Amino acid sequence: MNTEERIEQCLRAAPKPPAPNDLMNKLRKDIILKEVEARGSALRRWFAPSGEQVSRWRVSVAAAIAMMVLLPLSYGASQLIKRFSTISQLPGVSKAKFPWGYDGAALSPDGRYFAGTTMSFELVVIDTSTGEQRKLTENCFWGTPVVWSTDGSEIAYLSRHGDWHTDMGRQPSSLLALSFRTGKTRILMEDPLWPEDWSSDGKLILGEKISKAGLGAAVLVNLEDKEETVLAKEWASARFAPNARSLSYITKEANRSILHLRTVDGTNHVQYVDFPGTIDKPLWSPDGTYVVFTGTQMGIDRQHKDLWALRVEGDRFIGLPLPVTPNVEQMQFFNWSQNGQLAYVTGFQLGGIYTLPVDARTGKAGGPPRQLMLGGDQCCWSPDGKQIAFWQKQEGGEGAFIFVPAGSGERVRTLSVAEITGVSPGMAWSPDGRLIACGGTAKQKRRGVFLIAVETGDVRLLAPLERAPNSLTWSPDGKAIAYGQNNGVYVVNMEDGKPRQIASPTEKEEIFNRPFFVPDGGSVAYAHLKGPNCDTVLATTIDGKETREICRVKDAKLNMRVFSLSPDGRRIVFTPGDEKIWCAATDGGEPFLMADISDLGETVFAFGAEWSPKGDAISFKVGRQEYQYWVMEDFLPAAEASRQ
Amino acid sequence: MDSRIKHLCRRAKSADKNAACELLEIYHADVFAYLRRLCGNRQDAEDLTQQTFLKVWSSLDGFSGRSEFSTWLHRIAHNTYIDWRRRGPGGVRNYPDPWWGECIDTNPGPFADVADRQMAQRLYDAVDQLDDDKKHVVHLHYYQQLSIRQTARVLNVATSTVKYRLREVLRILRTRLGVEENELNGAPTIPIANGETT
Repeated sequence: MNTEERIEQCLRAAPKPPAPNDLMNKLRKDIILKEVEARGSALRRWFAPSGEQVSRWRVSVAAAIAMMVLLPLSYGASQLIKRFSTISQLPGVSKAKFPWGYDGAALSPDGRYFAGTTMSFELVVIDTSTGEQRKLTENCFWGTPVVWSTDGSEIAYLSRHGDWHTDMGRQPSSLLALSFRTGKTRILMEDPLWPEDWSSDGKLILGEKISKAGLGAAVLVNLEDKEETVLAKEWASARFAPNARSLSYITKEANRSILHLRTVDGTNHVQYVDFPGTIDKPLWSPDGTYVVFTGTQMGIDRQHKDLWALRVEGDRFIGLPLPVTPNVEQMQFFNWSQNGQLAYVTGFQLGGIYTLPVDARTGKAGGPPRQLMLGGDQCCWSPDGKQIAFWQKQEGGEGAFIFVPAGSGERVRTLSVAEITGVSPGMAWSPDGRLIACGGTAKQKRRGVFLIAVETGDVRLLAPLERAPNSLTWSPDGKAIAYGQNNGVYVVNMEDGKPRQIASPTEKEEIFNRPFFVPDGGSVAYAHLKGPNCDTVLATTIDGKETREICRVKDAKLNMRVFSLSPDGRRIVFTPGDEKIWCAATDGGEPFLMADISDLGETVFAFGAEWSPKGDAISFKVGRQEYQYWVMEDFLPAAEASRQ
Repeated sequence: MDSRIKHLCRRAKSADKNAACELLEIYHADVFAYLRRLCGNRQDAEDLTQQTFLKVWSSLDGFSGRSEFSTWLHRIAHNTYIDWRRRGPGGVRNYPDPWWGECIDTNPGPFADVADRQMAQRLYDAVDQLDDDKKHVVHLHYYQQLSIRQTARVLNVATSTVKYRLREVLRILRTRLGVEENELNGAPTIPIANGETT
């Protein structure tokens, strides 16, 4: 519990002065009540003045008055209601397989289409009225933002080079513009950035550039001469004002946010610094009179967010931000289209870690899947197959390993590892059971291969790297670790901690990833991607001299991109990203369906399957997405809206 | 509003004294506690509680039920206290007010631990020294357990104002307790698209 919470707890638990014993008696004596006359009596008197029958004539007059008064009033009311916020759902959009937590989709300027990149590496648009989904192109970089041109004729997006699933590095190849009508693309930038906004004249782009170390910087780029202006050396959510003369962005200093407003040419620059908390994702109203943003007020409740609006006139902020919509912490905003609709998503991803018993001789499922725990992140099996360790962020943001028996799933131990701040996909337990190896980030922005002592939680950085590696695997003798990074496969010895690359792709679109030591320890198997899908698993000797193919499937769409090699090396299990788990023999033969988890829910998908050390079970993660897409209009207060 | 309270209000409006007594039974201790903490002595708190309920009974037929009864009641108690302060003698507080210590000694509750008790005492003193606007939100939101919305209605201010004042209160109390700022501030989050297994 932090100090703020302690203060709040103390205040809530403050003792209550007891009321004197005789007070109640005194108060009782003071009770003087007067009977309230029935409200209906006045009406009754009017309709039946004589006190007997209701007068028909008076009823007719009352009806006529009501018609004359209520009709114009109802018309006025409907006009008035239009001044209040209206929300409507975009049901068709929910069917799109957008990545979870994705905030890069965008509503077209006329509000008719919703565009985004799916988990299948496709750029799709969805008709918001019919729900019809249309694929515009494939091989785009999923999880990245898309931006509409102001006239709605083009969409800017990042083409793909790199595998977000297994490579935490972001290596988009270029920023393209796709014509919505013809489907043709043109290159906007070879040296790409994550697009945030596109000026109305189409000549300037705002976006985020990411250095090799993974650090972002907000830049303004002139698409004609490629001149770059760095606005901030951090992620800044930069946006053009609709008049294209100004732009806004945010920076953070000492846990406070600063909202910047500057002219595009840099001649004028003002800042709003007084917001008592964090500002996120400022967006311009279509007429350019307001910037709205989600704001977290520190000191009240860190999870609590409201939507605020700050008025802009010319090159200045006017007044203070107004809270316009409370409690928006469940809403993820996309963009505010020119037709006045602010698009957002609500919802969450559920899921957990499951195990599935497997017949070690045939590789077929030996029973139904069983949920081991809710939530959970990375996991790995203990070398004796009796326990599974999970990586999980604790309340307060610190990470910890949770150890559970593979049979019961009951939590037996929590090992706090405060030093590690993030773990990349794929960690591994050492053959002697003493260490867990993971790729990740530690305090002071240290990245690389980390070793965590299972007993004590001591952390050692075995190999410092520029970026966090993924998919770590121990050699059977525990003397080396292989991992994936930069689309290649590396091996690092425990003795010297020096990584060396044993497999590197030769073509731009090739990716080698998800390494696994084969049982003899002499080579490392890995997925070979060419394009979005993987139909081949290769193995390279640890000296990097020989490479052979160990598994190939005819149908590339089955996609072995995320796979695990069985302990005897005879089979691989893989999850293409839907509700099915597949198995393929390394000596040929058709892949077969190991499990279908669609009975766990309509929107489930399985991923990250791992064999147990004895080959008699697999663990896998299940995600279930429950998202709804909405648009919100007229949410600024009526008085403010009328000024627009 | 709780259906039982609604029912009691309806009955009290139609001059049912038993219903009024039940309402008294439910709320008189809360109102007394609120006023006792504010005015700092038992006698004034009793007088103000009596005045509050007299106003309640005389204006009960005007209570339409749009807000909760406890919100309406606290608003009357708050206004009664403000009137008393304006009249003059109410502005002077008797220090130290001994009830807190007596209460803790006889019923330590969650403050059985000496350190907790000392912290609670320091906090209580610090709240007393806050300016009126901030003090009222603490009394209503924390001591009287009203929601932010209810507190805002009692004080006739916007909910955002209450939130702002609460934030300021916590900052001030934190400073007065000598807590380092950096203990309380979380690391800023950077929106980065998630990977496969996050």
